[in-house]
Amino acid sequence: MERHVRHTIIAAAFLAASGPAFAHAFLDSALPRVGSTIAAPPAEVVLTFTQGVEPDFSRIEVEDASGARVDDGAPHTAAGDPAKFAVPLKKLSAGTYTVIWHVTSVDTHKTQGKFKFTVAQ
Amino acid sequence: MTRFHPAAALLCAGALHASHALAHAVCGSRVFPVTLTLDDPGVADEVTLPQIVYTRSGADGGPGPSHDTSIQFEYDKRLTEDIGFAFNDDWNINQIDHAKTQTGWDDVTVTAKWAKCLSPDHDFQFGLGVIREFGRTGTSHIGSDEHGNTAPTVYFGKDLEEVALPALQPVAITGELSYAISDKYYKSLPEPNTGNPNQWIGGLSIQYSIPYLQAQIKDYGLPEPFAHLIPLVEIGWTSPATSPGNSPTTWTVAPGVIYLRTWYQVGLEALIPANKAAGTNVGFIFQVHVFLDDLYPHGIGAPLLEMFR
Repeated sequence: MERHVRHTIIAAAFLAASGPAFAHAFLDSALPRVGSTIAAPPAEVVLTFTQGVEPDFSRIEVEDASGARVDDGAPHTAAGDPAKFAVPLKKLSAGTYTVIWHVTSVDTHKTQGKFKFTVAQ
Repeated sequence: MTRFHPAAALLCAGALHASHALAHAVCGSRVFPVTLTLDDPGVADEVTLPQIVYTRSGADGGPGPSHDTSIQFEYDKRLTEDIGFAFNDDWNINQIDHAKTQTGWDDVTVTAKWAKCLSPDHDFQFGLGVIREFGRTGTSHIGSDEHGNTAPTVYFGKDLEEVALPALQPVAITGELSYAISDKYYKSLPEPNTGNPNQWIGGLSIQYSIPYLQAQIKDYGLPEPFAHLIPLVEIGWTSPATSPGNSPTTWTVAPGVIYLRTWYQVGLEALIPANKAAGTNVGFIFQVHVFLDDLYPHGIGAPLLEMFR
């Protein structure tokens, strides 16, 4: 019994020492929202992930229906919130756009995804 | 391969498979969750605490009726990002009416596996493994096998993101196919524990990922717990590969749902026999699974060779 207790304590200490974190950054929400149709063109795309991302090893690309890039500048994390990752946009006209993202989390795990939104005006 | 009480074994065909290695996989934009009755195509650091399988048998002419509960445990440890091992065992409680309840451990199973996301842009995952069941490591009176087996296995996972209809893009299919080579296979119809036939063992899952739907197709703003549900159907199949094969071909269908979060998942499925040989009663399978590689990526959840770098 004592042996079991000792092993449990060692295991708990090992877990505690390593500290909890969440390795993969999954998309939690987006502005414009995934698959949405919006009336006014957005100035930027803001992605919120389930954990912080490394901006130097992450990217967001936004393409129009012809495949032309409409993102305008380097993507960046929000001040004080590394889980918010945004990219400015050129002035968008009516149409459907595709957001393609590849991020590396602060724990170095890579995830990726893409979605569309539509500007209605 | 008799891992539970013999009367329960047929119905449990899918559940038997469930005690093999289970690991979730992240490939491109897809998370393949841990399926309950078949292995998924990934390797990971994670632990099942526990998986509970309940089946009722005997109505199909076997001894009983009996109530069979299996409490299954698994620990998965990666050596590298793509190579890992899984260790499985389970505690069985076989309750037969008007008879003494039998309890005991099943045989220990160890899986060595290589798995990789071969195409992140197309969410295609593939793996190869060898599952080894060690005979005589369980409790004989609950039907644990005296003879082990070795099963080379192939795994795959692919979603339907290329399909034109957006509503179908959250669908993914995973599968595995094993050929279990018995340590001792019989040449004539056997007495108990004189051997086993070699077996084909297959499994397929069809999943619909609500998290994928919300993150890739359309954010409906679904509330919890619906935003993180993956409804799925798993199909399990076993068939003797060598003759004489007195073990019949069995089919099991397991519809259910998985609640998937960043560092854990909870799953519940019904176990429905799909042919007479698989039994006549519906059971269930419930699982709690923790992703150590997501919870402790720099500690106990890191691949072994990275932990000591």
